[in-house]
Amino acid sequence: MERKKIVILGAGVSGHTAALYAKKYLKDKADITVVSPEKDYNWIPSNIWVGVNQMSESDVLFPLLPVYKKEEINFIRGKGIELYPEGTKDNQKSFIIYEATDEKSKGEKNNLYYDYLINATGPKLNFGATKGLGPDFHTYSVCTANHATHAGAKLKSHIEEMKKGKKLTLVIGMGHGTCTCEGAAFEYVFNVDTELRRNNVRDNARLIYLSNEAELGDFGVDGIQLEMAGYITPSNIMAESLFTEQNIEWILGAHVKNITETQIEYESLDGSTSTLNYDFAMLLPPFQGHLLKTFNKDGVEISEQIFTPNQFMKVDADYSAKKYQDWKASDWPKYYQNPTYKNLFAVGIAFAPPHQISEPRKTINGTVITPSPPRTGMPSAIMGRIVARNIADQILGNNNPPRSASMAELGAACIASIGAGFTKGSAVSITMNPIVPNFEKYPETGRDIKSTFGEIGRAGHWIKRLLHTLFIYKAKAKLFWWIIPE
Amino acid sequence: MTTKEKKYYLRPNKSTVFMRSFIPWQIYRFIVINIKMLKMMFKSH
Repeated sequence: MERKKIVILGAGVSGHTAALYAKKYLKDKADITVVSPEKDYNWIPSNIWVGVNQMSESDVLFPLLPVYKKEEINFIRGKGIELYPEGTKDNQKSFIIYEATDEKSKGEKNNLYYDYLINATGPKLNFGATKGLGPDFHTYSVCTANHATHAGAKLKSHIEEMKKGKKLTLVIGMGHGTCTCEGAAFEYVFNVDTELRRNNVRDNARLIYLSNEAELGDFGVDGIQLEMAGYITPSNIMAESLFTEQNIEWILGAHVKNITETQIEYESLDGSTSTLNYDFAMLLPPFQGHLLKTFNKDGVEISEQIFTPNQFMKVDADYSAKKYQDWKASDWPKYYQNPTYKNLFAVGIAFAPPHQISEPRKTINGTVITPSPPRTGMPSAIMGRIVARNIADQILGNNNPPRSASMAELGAACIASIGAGFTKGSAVSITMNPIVPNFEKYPETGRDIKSTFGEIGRAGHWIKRLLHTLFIYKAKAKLFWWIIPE
Repeated sequence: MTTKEKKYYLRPNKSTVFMRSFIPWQIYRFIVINIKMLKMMFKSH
């Protein structure tokens, strides 16, 4: 029997997890190929520590090639650019065209045939959505290890200035009204606060959190109702308390429109426009998908059938337009399988969510200011594993019903660092179940209150540090890596 | 933020702040939170 070919585009959390599990489940019964433009794996949740000089790039990056060699997974440095799910008229075998990104063959285009394709391309960092946003212009980012290193270096030089008595304004948050990953900005602002205190310059800094969230603690998941001290407490109460305690100012419901060298211009939910002078800004960009121009066997472009306008791949979700009040858990995909081409899957950031999780909001000028749904970390890895399992079952001829990884059924554990250091660090530990509120199942709070909780303390930092070590161990596919849950 | 403005927000008292970094208590919480998270992870697998 011909060995089936599984191609995985992307080697981030979801793609890399899918590749390792596909190999574990299928051994020599399939050829597994990972196509990634990057040579290294990046454990992104720890980038915030690189951004405050508590870790270096080498702590969060490692080369992928040795891992794939050991696991007998093919690795191609490249990026997918075109997709032919029906093949061509002459050869009706599905394939992609990728462009090589390694030094030797950079720019060369090649075909890669597949029986199953997993799109795990992650986000395209859309700095271009806001004028002046990003490391090429006026602001810093912690989205990649390299970005975080630059942010850390600039922060260090500002700390030196503050030691000499200079007073500075530091703005941290979201660079556009539709950004996601508010949790990362939340972590970074508190880690910067800790660094400033560690260097005894906190009094010389005005620290501002600028976000597209309508409430603090929304995190793009419509907030969380937590059991705390005998009360069911909305996460905004917990977050506001923490910001107040650390004297961090906040500006909410903001869509950043324009950034100059010294000023951030933003539109608020009430439609007004304001400006904010700053000396240092770490603003995250909105995410876009990586478009694979898709063609049918006649060579006619069908990208619109497969991708949404923001270039995320359509899967088994309910994409019909609905009002917030009508959103249901069943809108969310279970199998991450494209409805037209059943051998096509999208996981992690690459799949198109049916809608936001947070209540959608617009200004009177029609500007959308709503966090996009987060789909990184734990759920992203679980999606990768479940898709690999379902593909393996198909190849092995197992008659198991497909396994589901709906974000309306999955829980998530999040540790939001609020300062690094074994004896100085702290974190907010949060679990929520499920990620997408399910008001049909949990009419009161949308989530299971027994397994949704939040706590602040040093223990959280120890757990986050432990998870850093464990997840990098797992990603390196070391002995018994698969025992460590995602 | 001024002291007057702070009155609108929940703030921890001295004992809560102390317990957040009191090592014996945090070792206990480390175990408890890990168990809670593991339960969550196994539910999601």
